[in-house]
Amino acid sequence: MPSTVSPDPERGRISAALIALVVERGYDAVTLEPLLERAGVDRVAFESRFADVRDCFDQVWDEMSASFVVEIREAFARDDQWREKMRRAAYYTLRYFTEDMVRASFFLVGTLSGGDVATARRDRLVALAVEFVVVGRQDLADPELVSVADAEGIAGGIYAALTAAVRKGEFAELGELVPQLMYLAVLPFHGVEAAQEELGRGPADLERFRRGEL
Amino acid sequence: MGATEQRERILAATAELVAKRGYHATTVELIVKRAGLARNTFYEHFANREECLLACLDETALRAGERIAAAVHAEGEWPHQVRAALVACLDYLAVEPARVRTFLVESTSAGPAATQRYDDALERLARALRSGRTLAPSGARLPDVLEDSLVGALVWMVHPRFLRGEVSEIPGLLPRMVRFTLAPYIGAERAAEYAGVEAPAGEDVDSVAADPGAPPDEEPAAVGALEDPVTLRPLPAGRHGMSPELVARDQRKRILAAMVRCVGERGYEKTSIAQVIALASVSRQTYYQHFVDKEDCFAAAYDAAVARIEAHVEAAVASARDWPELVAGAIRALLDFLAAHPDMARLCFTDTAAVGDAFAARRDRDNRRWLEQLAAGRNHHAGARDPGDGIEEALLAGLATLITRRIRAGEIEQLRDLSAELIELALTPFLGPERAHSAALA
Repeated sequence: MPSTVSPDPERGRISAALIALVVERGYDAVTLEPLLERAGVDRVAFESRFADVRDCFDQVWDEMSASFVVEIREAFARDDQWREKMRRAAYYTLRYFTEDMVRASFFLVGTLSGGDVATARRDRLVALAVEFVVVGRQDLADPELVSVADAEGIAGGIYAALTAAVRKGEFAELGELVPQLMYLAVLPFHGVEAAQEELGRGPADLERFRRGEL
Repeated sequence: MGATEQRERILAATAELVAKRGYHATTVELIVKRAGLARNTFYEHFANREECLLACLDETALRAGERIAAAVHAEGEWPHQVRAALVACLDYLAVEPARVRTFLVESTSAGPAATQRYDDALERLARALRSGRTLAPSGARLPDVLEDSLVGALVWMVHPRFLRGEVSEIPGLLPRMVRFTLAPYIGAERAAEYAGVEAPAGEDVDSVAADPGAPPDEEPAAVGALEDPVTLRPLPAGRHGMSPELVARDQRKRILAAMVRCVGERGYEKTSIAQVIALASVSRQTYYQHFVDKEDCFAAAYDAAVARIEAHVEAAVASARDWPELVAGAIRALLDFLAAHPDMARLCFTDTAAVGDAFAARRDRDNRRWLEQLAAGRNHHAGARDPGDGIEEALLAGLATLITRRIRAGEIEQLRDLSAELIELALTPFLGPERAHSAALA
């Protein structure tokens, strides 16, 4: 289940058990005993690795997020043109969220669980999106046409659209979100025709995505 | 005091504290202390802290909603309505920055019920925006998530500025916000026409800047080694996945901000490392990873404060047309900055003498830059008068003495009143009394 192969099998079992329990019961309902039972480890084994359940959650989430960030950066770096970069990063995110729904739910719980830590996580993910959007300024004759504030708005808008879709239970439809998100990103940089073009690419791209070409 | 007033005071105190410290660090104890009420009184109004926060959020949503509704009602055309709604939001932010920050930035870390308030408010705005679809050219497809995304985008233009202490920049975002919101419906060109360039009516940048949770930060972020009290808030506990460099930078910033605050409150001599690390929420070990001793930290705080002052002054005089304007602008900007940042004023002007001889070299170095600026007056106004050797140093010492005296007397806020006097003093040797006088009044 965990996206990374842990060289420490007990730790791997604890992570997997935690992820499953959080998704099944919710972040607040996970306590140590059921976690140990599910992972098949004793308290000593747990405490040699984590301070408590919260610490375990934080570590597992942070590892997951770190590998996500590395991979999405790689996806973004593969193309030359900004629009292609953005599209590939968007589809990468989609793949990440749809190929393993348990992982996706756990990932989202980490940013929606409330508290300063979750907020800081969310802010970091949005900051990553800002970083990607800002690259689009290189396509403009006058980069000031789209300011950093605009880029922050675009990234925040993408984040808001994603979370709204999740909140409304449209999780499985995420694939159809990509062209919409691309519309939002492209419109301020390249105008309405280019944005419409992104919107129109939907079905064909989704097909390519399913064939693993995106 | 009536029950309504009590409730109002509790809610205002809550918003201010949450905006400044975050929800989790805001205790009932702090709220009643700030509201000047007894603990019992709090519990007469609210069962607990969460209920109080939710009431605060509800009231904020209600007040903002009323302002938006009134503004929209007065406009006919939809694009004008959108603009008016945005102006109303920014106006409200100017009037009650702490409440707006609490709503937009802090609510989502305050538990599911508070997050729900936030989500609901955004959704209401998104629904309202959907009526713009009738204006889109027929045949143009719009994304289903457009409105959710636009509202999110507007919030996220504001959000990072709260976090970075750049609240005073927010009103200036209006044209971009209008263009951004309208472009998908009516096209970029027409959207730009509605966006205009003027700032929102009734905008009050000063009252935004006066927000205790987000003091003014007119300077570029790069100079922000020293920021506002917000930066005193520690990183979230536990593993947050930030790079070690980021964590270290954040720690250093917090330590410096804490040093400034401590020195501002009790002076350098009475400031202890224990107080600084407590205020910065770092361990003693962390402190010593960054600084060898108290003086080292003070020196870094001083450097950061000087950098901020200089950046502020530089920005203020960027458009000065000539040397007298440059000197006058620099003095005004300096006094403005000091008046708005009393802790930094004390640190730079009244406490450096207490630090010891080693520090004198630092002051000399910084003074030299100001001396050069003053000396430039000789080139620009050669022939007007020969001011004699060493006049710049004498002037600088005189200016510093007058400023220091006010700061020591606790009259930091009144420093701005000194500007005409100081400008005249600085310019007279170079321009003569009459021209100096008129430059001071300009």
